[in-house]
Amino acid sequence: MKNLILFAFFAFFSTISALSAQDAGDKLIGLWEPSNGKVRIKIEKIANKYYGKIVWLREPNDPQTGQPKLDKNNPDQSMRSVPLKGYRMLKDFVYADGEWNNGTIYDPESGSTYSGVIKAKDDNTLDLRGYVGVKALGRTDVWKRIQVK
Amino acid sequence: MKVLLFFWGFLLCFFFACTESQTITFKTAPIALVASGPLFEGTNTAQGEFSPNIADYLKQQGLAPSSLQNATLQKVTLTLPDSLQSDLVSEITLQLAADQVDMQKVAVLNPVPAGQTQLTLSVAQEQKKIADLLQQNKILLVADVNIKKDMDADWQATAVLEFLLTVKK
Amino acid sequence: MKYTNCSLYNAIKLSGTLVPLRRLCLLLVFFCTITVLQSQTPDTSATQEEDYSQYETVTFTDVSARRYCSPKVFDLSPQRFISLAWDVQAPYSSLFSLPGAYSPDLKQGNDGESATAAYTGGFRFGANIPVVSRNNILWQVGANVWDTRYNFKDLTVQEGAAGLTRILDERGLRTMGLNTTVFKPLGETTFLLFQGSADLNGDYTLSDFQSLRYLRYSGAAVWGRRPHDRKQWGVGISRTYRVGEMNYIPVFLFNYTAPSRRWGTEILFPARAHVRRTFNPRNLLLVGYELEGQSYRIAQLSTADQSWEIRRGELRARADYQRKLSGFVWLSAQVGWRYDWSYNVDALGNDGREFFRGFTGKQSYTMLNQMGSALYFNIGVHLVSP
Repeated sequence: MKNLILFAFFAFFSTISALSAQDAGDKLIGLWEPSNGKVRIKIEKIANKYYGKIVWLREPNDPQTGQPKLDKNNPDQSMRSVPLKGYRMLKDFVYADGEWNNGTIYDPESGSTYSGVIKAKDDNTLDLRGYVGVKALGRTDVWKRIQVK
Repeated sequence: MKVLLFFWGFLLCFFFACTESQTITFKTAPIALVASGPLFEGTNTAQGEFSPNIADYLKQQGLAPSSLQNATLQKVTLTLPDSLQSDLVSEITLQLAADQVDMQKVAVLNPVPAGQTQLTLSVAQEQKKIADLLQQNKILLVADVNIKKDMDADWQATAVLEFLLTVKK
Repeated sequence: MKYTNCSLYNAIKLSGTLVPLRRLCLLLVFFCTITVLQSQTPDTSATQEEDYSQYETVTFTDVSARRYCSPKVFDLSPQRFISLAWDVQAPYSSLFSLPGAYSPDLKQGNDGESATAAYTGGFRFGANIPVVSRNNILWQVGANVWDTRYNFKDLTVQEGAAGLTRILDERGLRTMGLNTTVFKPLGETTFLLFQGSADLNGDYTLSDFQSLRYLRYSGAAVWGRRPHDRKQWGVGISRTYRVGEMNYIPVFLFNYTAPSRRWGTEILFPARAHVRRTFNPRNLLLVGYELEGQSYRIAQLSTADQSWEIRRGELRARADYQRKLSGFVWLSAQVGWRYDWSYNVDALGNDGREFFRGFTGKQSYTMLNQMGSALYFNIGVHLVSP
């Protein structure tokens, strides 16, 4: 009986803890703008990981072709016809210990993929750091939450 | 010196002889992809999932589950319920994801030919960790579908993926 | 059902009814299990479709949010975190004068030493690490170590010559420096750029090190504008040793990329200026020039009263091909022509205190030297910034 009581309390507090962690991770979900204002990113959750896709571009069309911009700098030639609008440039971020980690950031301008870590400064501000190998060799960009008028 | 070279050469031959591999094809059952309406002009997301059960498949082929050395996606076919569905779509990008493996883009079709019920996507030349994906319990298909105009109904398709497996004999 | 004779440990009263504790615990476990299972269901928020046109008009949730301009424009050659390169020159002639007092207006002094520099080269290491890297300020610190070795042949020495050729042949020249760069965007289109460095240059070795009182300081301050993603310009002032001796000169920054994204410019005049041809994001070619220079103390010629320093300045006209090898590792290969701007020697006070000659000063040189021009090559591997 004592064991059952202990187990029940353990299960209860574990559940509360797990749900709180998930809620904390979900505050990444929403619409964000990087500091240069060139794109707007919608971050969503798919199967316990967080992904960000481009939903708006300041210059949506390629000035040379007049057509919607494609991922023409992708190192994989077979993937260069993927449109940038809707492109998932943030992938596989997992929430743990107060930050979103283990993800990658793709820069369509250069076709480069960096490792990434995201921290929330507050509910409306993210520090998104892309780095090469070690976190010291990277750059942090501040993203601001935006909302549809 | 010559003895050493002979020894290493023999060892290499022995190694390769013991790890001779073969390739087999693994084709999934049709996987339902659905983007729930109403859908708006632009990119919309259709999702589906399947359990590869690669271990069972390998056992059926008389191979041990641990014999899988490598895997590549060879072909992606989408079947649409009627030709109107392909008329509405301008581009499709397909990604695969699983809990323990990073999401990756595996196929794209841009532009989507109109009036078709069967679409074959161009498969990515660079593929990573497909073998790892196949060893997961569940794989998520995420299709980013660019719809040409607003529609109230769902967008649906079934996907069949064909993989080439490299296995140890 | 009523329960009587239940102790507090075995029952809890709920809504007026005594409920067995065992049942309550089981209920709690059941509730927790269901809750956890529900929360593990894959989130389908990604399939909730949206009208993309709504993202045209948005507002910041935090009204104090601002946008800042980037320190780069499109297609600039990649910034390097860590560099390792080998620099080598083809043979050329050298002519060093006898020590004396030579007006800067003279082309040549009294011949003292002549030779052929059969080999001039060495490694160059650089590191630039971001200390603070945010969208409203970028602060980097760096270090560099350059080593130059000489091998002279066919040496002819006149009586009274200083013996500089022999010293260079035996000891070579090296530079060790620390530098810092701060990029401060003031808004979406305006920025400030500060650079500073301290370099120790001379014929010293690790076992025979040079006093830090002979550090040479350089710096620049630029105010600039970045009107769009393909253009960035600025004006400023710098203190520089690029022509071998200390000078204060204006600087002009102009980084530009054409709408075609195929060519552009990378200019920090007068220090360097290049036209860039971008083949693709992984291959580019820069053609132009760079001024290199420092003031090198020659311990072997210095005395208790004087510190002799070579005012070494070079103009390197070059083609620089850069290519991505893998990930963030790039290769650079330069070929060009090295023109001797200055190899003259000044005798400073023993404290090494600098003086300003500039372009019009009449202070005498202790030696007037010429180094012939030469073909040069430089190949390097770099870890570049995202």
